[in-house]
Amino acid sequence: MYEFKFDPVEMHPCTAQLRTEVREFLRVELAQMLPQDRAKTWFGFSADFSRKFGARGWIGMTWPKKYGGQERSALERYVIVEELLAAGAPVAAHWMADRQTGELLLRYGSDNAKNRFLPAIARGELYFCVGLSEPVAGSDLAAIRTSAVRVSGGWQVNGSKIWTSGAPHSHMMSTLLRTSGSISSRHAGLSQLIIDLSSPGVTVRPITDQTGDRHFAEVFFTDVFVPDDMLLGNEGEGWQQVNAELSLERSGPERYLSCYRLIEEFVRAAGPQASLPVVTLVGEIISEMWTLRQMSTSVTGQLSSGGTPALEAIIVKDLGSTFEQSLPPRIQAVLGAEMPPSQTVPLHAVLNYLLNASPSFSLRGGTREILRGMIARGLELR
Amino acid sequence: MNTERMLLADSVSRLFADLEAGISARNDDSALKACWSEVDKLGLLQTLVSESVGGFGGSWLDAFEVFYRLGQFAVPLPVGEQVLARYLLGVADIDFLSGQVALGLCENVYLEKNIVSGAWNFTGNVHAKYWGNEPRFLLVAVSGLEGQCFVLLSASQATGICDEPNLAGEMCSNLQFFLAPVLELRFVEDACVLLHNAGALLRTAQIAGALEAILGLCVDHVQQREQFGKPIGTFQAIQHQLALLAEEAAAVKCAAQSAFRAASIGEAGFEVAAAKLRANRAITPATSIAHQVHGAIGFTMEHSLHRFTQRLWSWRSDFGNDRYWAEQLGKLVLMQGAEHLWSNLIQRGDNTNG
Ligand SMILES: Cc1cc2nc3c(=O)[nH]c(=O)nc-3n(C[C@H](O)[C@H](O)[C@H](O)COP(=O)(O)OP(=O)(O)OC[C@H]3O[C@@H](n4cnc5c(N)ncnc54)[C@H](O)[C@@H]3O)c2cc1C
Repeated sequence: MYEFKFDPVEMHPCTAQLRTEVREFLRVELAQMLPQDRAKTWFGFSADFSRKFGARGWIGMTWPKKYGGQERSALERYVIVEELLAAGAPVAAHWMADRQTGELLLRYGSDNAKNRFLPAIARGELYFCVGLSEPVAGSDLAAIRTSAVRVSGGWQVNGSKIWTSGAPHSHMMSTLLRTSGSISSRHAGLSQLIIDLSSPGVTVRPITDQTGDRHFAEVFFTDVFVPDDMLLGNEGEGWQQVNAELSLERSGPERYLSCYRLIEEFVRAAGPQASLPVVTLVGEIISEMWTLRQMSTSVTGQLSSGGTPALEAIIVKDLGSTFEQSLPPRIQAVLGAEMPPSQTVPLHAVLNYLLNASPSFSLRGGTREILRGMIARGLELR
Repeated sequence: MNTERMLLADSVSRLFADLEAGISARNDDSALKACWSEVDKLGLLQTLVSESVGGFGGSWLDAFEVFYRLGQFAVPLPVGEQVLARYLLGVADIDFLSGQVALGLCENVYLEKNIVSGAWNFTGNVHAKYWGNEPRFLLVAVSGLEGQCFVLLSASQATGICDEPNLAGEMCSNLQFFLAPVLELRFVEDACVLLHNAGALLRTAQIAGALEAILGLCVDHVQQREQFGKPIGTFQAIQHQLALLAEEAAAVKCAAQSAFRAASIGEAGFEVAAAKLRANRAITPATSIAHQVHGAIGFTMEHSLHRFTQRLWSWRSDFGNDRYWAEQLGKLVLMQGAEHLWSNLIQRGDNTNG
């Protein structure tokens, strides 16, 4: 029987200093930002913000110094990320690269790729997106059809990706595609290539989501040439690489903080004289949020000391996204006469945006059903 | 976990597993009596008593390992309550020699000081969970006009006793006292909060342990039980239910461990509230899933599932139900205000003094 491990993590005292610095930076930089814009968290885009943030050394901060990193710990990065999300900073430009592509490049990138991309990412100037899903391959990712065939000096890519977050503003895409075999060979024959989205033959068509945002896109590849040294890792091992990449990023603070802005605006509007249903809902929310943060930091602490809390990480993601998805309707349900709309303008704007955005929380990064299947596998039921 | 704590955890697991086997073979008083003397022999009741007076000198982190296993093995004895009572006697600086001392919750209390002798008399109702027929002592916390105090009473002074076993059939009693002389009385700031929070910590750890146990029962059951020609655990509907149960068990274990860690460092009112509330809120989804996947067999006395689910339902009301803790926590947060919401939450999690 699996035994869960959630030993509380010890935050190193140096994280307190770092936290103070990043808070001060955010206080100044985001002073004019409206609550409903902060509510976008990692969907909010600002090239200017990412550049300034990179200049402080806070992008790619765990990477080696020779690639523009700071060689800081995973827990220090955790502190930075949770402060960004809690403040609602517009992090979309550097988000994917900082969270996952950088690690991928460090581990599997060619020397040229590492030297070319990592320092530019760390400066907050070069943006990556992650192309996995395709029109016919969502949850069943192994069914992807986009393919690359060998040509002189590299690969020729044909096919398309969809729902790619950040594609409209990204420079590069780390792309999972088929380099050998046929669709029926499934996991075998998949590889990861870095594709320059300014290459001839690439078309990016933004898709408007139901909040009106155009953060994701469909991306078409027609005879796109990709040089050899843009292959990540080994040909044919893309499936294993992608899974390792995803498993590292299931338990971060973004898995439960998507509605943080709503909680704060709710607490503000409620005030110390709130009615009992409001008070008890605040209590419930804080209890869940505190628990999730303890779980999330524990998993990060274990990962950074060489542990493999795989099941714990998936649990954090499913519990976290269920929690954040539950918040808009729960808060909507208790707003009462003592909180008239005229006094709660920011709260209502934030609530409306998040009611609208919340269906995506249990889809992106693997659906709820897929995660629960993985938990069942961890319990040895499959 | 340090080695000493690991050893404690291992020997407690072994003891409770043996006791569970003994009790399920022979569910009568003699089995419980044997069980109690084993617990006593191992010195578990002294977990939180300082070494200078012959205790184990453990911290809340050691207590977690004991309390968690009380839940995991559904130990039908008030071991945890007595650990806490002995701990609080130490806090109150009351010398205690031997015998059972139960943790009591009291209501309608009236404390009266004899002007001539200076002795205190206690009038009121005490609700306590205890076991056996030995002479019993009761430790209660009282909030009076002159402040909060711990009071040690002798059960033999009660004018009336009414047994009220809890949902799981564990012995609990209501004792009435009328102008009973107190054995000891000590004023301690926040005595009532100390007792209540200690009780909530105990229940949170027990709930965590019981949730992990029912998850184990469910996994075993769905792997063995076959319908439609295959184990029911192969059906996706069942798998997803157990995934949800696992999530609840995981969350409560983490919350409980975090609250005990906070208590081992210092004042932990916030963490106790958050953790007990989280634990309480896991109970309905977890027990519903566990009973549903077990089918009819899980609804029988013969099957062990009820030993856990009945305790869980009972523990939910003990030392603060959902509404109680939600209100406490909600008020605390609303008083501090939105500007401090995030920084306070972080400070609570990152506290590393100690
Ligand atoms: C906001 C947002 C951002 C995204 N960003 C990216 C990105 O940057 N890059 C990228 O590659 N993708 C991205 N995605 C796509 C995301 O990964 C997919 O939406 C997700 O994997 C599900 O695929 P699908 O939408 O095709 O749904 P489907 O796979 O068609 O699923 C539909 C429903 O069927 C259920 N289902 C499917 N298979 C099973 C099964 N075996 N058992 C039980 N139920 C099942 C699913 O759980 C779901 O409820 C993003 C999606 C969103 C909403």
